[in-house]
Amino acid sequence: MKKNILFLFLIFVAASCAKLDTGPTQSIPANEAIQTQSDLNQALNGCYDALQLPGFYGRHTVLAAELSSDNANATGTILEYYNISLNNLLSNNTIAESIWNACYIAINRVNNVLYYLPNVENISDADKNDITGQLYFIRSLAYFNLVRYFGDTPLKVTPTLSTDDLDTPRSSMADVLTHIVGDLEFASQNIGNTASGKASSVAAQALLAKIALYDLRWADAESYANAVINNTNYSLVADYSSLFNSENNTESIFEVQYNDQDKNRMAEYCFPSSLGGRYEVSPTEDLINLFTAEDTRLNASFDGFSDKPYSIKYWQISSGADRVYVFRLAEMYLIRAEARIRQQSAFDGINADINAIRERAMLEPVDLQDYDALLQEMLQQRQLEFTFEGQRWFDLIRSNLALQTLPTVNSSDQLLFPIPFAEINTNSAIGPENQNPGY
Amino acid sequence: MQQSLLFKQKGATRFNQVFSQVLMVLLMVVFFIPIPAKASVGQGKPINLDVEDEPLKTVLQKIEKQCDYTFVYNASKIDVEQAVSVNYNEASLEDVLNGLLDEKNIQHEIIQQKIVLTPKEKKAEKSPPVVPQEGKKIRGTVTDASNGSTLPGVSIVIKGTLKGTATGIDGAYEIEVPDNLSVLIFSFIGYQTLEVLADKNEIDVALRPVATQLEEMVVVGYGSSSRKLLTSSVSTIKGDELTEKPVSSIDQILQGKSTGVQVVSNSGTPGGGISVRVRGISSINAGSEPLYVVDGIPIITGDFGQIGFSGQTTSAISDINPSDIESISVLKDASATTIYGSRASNGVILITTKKGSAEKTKINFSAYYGVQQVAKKLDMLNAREFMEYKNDASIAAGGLPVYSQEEIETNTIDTDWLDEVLSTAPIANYELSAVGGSKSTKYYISGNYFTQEGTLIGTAYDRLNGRANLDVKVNDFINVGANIGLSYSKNDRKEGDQSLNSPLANAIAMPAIYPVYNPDGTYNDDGPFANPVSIGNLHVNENYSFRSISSIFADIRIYKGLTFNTKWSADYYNLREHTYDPPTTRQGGKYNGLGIESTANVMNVVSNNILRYVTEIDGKHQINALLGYSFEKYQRRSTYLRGQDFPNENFQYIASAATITAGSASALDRGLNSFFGEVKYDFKYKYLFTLSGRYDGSSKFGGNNQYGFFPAASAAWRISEEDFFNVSSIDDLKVRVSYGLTGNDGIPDFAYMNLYSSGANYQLNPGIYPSQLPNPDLKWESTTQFDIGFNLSMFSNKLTFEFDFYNKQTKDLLLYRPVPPSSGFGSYISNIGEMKNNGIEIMLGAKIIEREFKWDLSTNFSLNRNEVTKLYNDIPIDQIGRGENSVRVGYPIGVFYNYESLGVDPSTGDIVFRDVDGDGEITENDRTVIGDPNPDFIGSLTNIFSYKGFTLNIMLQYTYGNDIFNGTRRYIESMKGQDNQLQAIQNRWRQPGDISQIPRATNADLNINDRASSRFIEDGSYLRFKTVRLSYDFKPKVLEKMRLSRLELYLVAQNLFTITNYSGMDPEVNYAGNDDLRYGTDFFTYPSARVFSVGLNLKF
Repeated sequence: MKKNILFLFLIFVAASCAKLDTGPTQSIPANEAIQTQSDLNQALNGCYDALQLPGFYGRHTVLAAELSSDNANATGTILEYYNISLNNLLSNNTIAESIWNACYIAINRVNNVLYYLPNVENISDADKNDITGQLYFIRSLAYFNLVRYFGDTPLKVTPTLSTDDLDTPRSSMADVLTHIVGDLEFASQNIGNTASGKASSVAAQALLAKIALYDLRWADAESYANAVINNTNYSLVADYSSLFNSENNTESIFEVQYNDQDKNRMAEYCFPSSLGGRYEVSPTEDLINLFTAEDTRLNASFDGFSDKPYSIKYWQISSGADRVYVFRLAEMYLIRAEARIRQQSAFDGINADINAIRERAMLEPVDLQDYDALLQEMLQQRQLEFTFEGQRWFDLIRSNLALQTLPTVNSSDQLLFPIPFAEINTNSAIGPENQNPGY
Repeated sequence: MQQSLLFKQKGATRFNQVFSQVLMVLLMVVFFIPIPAKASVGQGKPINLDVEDEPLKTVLQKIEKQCDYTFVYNASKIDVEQAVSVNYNEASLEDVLNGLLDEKNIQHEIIQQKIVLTPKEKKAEKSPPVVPQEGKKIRGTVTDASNGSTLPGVSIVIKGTLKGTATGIDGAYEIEVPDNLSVLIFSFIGYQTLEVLADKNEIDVALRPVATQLEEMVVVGYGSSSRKLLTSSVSTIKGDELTEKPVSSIDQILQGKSTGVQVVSNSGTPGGGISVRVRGISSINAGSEPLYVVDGIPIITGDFGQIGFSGQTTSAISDINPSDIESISVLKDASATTIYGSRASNGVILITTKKGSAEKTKINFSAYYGVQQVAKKLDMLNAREFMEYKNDASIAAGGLPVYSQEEIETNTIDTDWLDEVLSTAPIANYELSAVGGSKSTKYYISGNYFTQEGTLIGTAYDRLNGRANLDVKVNDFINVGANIGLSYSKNDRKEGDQSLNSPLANAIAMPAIYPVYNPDGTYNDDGPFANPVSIGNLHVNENYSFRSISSIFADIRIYKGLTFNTKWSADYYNLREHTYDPPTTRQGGKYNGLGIESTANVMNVVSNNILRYVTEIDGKHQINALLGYSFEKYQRRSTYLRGQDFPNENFQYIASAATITAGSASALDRGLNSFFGEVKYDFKYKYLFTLSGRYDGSSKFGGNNQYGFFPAASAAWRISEEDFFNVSSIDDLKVRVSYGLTGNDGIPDFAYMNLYSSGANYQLNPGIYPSQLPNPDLKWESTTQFDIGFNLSMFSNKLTFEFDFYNKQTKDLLLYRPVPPSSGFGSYISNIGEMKNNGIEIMLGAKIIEREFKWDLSTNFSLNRNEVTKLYNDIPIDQIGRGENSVRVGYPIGVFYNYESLGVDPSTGDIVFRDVDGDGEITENDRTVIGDPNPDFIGSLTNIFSYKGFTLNIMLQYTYGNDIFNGTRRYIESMKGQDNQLQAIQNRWRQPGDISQIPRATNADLNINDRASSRFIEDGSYLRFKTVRLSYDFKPKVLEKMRLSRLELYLVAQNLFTITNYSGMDPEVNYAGNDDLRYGTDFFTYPSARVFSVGLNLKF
């Protein structure tokens, strides 16, 4: 009897050990994550997903560039938006921090996939290069936004795999741009993908054109823009308002896509409370007044003129499915126009590029014979064409117009956002002395 | 001893008289119950007897009819046919028996409701017994009446002789008695001595644990101990204390009942969560709720709701029916808790449910019905006042008046929104239970229905409970049994604080100028916030929980003193949530109807296997050891679906939604392996030592620290047992000291791994991403606790006193260690922080008057000082939650850190904030510690008066020195914006020179007068009449006629009134639920109700 009971006891103990090596069910250990081409595609989706983050094209990267400029005011409850609108940021501004964080999340995701990519078996070189090109494009887009907002920035091209060696110093803007131009050259030659909402070789060319513009390499800007405009797969849509109603139109070069299960809150942030929105960001009176009566872009961009004007480029408040444009063909015309102005090329070509934009908006064509006037007209068209698409602040800066245009900008220090306090506080390679001046 | 020491005898008598008169008048009015004109004296009820020459037998029968006793005698020895004549009027039973039997040379003795008659001894000697069955054998088992376990070592003596025996290790005994009229005396330390008539061949006896504090048995980790032999700090709640308040949840019972335990109802939400903190907060991120153990099984606790209710959490604890509970033990010091190892740092609450007993089945029925009301409403501006204030605010900002004088004069709409959403609501509880059994099978079975409507429109909580506890004695070696607890509940909820969809928040903030309904009868939604009545009536937010906590067990006696116990349990919890916002509400309108369905299935399987050895050497050395192995498997599965675009309000489920906007299912598995042991050694019951420890391995811990060891040691010295100790007034004096290590494993699962996670989808295609940095060193938080205390009992237990001092040092606190965001991560979880808690606990109990009128007083007092001593690089964690709590080195956890308001500048009407850094500007750097949500001390005072069946129980509970951030006032004293304002703003600053506490009204508030500042910090101290309960227990005589064995009627008032300076609706408030870091903030929080109930307890 006693023996039996002891035996029983032993059975209980032996049979009952709880397993301690249980693993998570929504996650897997990082080193097992990317092994097949299907894993690789999912990891690539994860990188595109980073572009959707609220700090990125999901909201702040776009809206902060509007608020900082003369296009928009903060009219909601978010204090940090007011500070951005007044060009008076503190280093702990959470909006600036979320832009920084989102860009580096995207960069780290890309770096991770690039790190594991060589281990993936049974994949063709063409596919490998296609995916590498898309990854380069995403990373370049993140760095491009970082240098535009923050100036010199840590250049990270290897993944963060442990808590060691996390501190990276700032690299000069020029070095960062040089690096991404190299990546984008690869991307423009190797991306085979043509699916909408994803990077393509044309998207890489568009980004190269834009970087050249910031880099004052006018001839490069013109030739990249030229290549995109000459690509017969792309054309301006006839009706400006349809740009914001139809997905994947012929004008769209790269757009970050959303749907009702993967939503952004752009419409919610722009719409007034009577329509269920928060009315955080609204157009300035000056911007509204800038549109001439016949300009179809006014009614395609805004509503609520009598009471509270608001942007309607993002209007799907219940589903949150509004896409956010990164590049559309219209910009390529204006980039080419700008590059030609800077190079003092023939007036006809410049006027033609500007008129392509004007005429689509139902404005009379212009025929200007003066580079200053053309420059001004080009910039104005950029402003009217791309309201609430996150361009204006950077256009003012790179044209050296911010100080004279914006009453709240008194110092060139205000042209860069502060490196987030969280970075300075934790990164031993970036001390307070490395902060942007004025913060 | 002398109660005059405590209370002057004379005074007591006078008080006694006055009090009893008052009480009677009160009760006659309330109950319409005739009060007996004359009180009985002595034993039981008065006897009336008038007989002439009747046989003694008949007279005895007459007496039996008038009292609860039956006569037992041997007819061959007692001449019951002899004629007697007696006349008694309202005499005591004792008098009657003496008068009737003495001269007949019959002696009597009362044993267990039986009056045993025997011939007086001299005569008995003379006539030798003729009973043939001399030397008959009696056998049986002795058990503990409180839990049914067998008791070894119980002494059994035949009364009047030296002959006796003791029970064996299985509680069995065998004894030879001279005859049927022998009396057996059962005695055992810690139990009431029992005398039993040996009139059967098998006599099973259940001994009751001694009621005095000292002898009381206390349930401790994996066993029980008598209080006087405890070496650790344990508070217990049992008996009437458990049922005196009609509450729905066991954590509510704990409030004010135990030293060192702070219980806060976070809100008045029916079925809502409650914060329980044992000896302060000892974690920042890993949770501070104690471990709950029901009948030896750690149970699932926490909030599994997936739909945000803005701080109004649900609690898995609320599924346990309070009336099924036999006792609650709160284990506080390391010596008591360490046997629960890596989960014990926050204290352990042991709940023991009721067991069957080996006696005739008794049925209990109890019920109460009550009404609840909000004790205090906020006094808001009426329509006219609101319009005038808005005009002021606009004019001050350089604008035009918003309302013309004519509009003000002609306005007819003046809605009292709070009246529209708050109402008096019923609460009721019905319960039926049976307890009983036989020698081999004992059972407890109960069923319960609890129903409560909330004082806030649309809220309610209903619960059904069933329980069956079964113990079966298979043979002399094996006992088996099962405990099955089932519960089903439905909770109608409304979104809570910090939400513009909360009926209460909207009712407070909605100006009176808007009507509830449009002329066509539809809800008016013109106001700045959604119509609270519409939300209350139309929003559907239901959750349903099904819970089964069931276990089976076997006790096996292996060898003398050696037993093996195995217990297997499954705790299954299912929570289903259903939410629907019809398109006719504001929120629903935005999505054209919005529905959410979610389920959470949680199961925890536990196995406890314990080997126990009890022995005594030379009658001096008592050794009590146990060795155990336990494992737990935890599984959680949850699903969540969100849909929008519904056809109309008749379609509420996702099947009708045109668009599914979210759908997910997730899973979590976790495991825990534990080895534990304890050795107790007592020398002559004088020097007591305990060593205990647990070795826990958890799937939560990192590869480098998968197992942790948690030891503790304690010792106690019962000074009063020493020969040299010679203070007659002191019954017992014991000094205790303990030291040990415990852990807190409330860390996220798999936080140690380098992970890729799913969910980073793009264009509806699945995406994965690197989600977590690894930390292979991750482990539990650990707390070392030192405790020194003493127990003192004086004047025959009339005065009991308990004192404890403790010091808790917690280290390896989990903190999110920030990393450079340029790494692509924000932080990783790491054991970094440190914190300490010091405290004093005092418990005093006094039986001030112990006569017909009784007055018992008990009071407890607890003081805790918390200090955060280390953080990552000592960087404060700042601006947490609405109250902007902060965690800073050198301060108690959760202090309010913000601007200090110096009052209103009489010249400008703006608040002057303190320029802490003196730079002439008010910037973020001027923030400072402006308040502390932790109380200086807490406690309670309970007075129980009883007189002839009447009992009045008054329990006062208090907290002192805690600050509350009244976040509601930030909006309803904002003096701008859309919210309605408090009446208090009528005293606002209006013109230069005005001296006021309230700044000016202006829409252009450049000074930001309404920023979070000390202007909204208030003293949260309160003294509350928590329970006032008046009950009447019917006399046995009355009960007998009704064939009942107990009938109690009572009236009880909870939260009768509260003395506080706090201006909000209720000072007992936590807008963020159990969150340790967002403590002590009120934000439109649902207040606790004042409840009046009547009830009855019936036993037959």
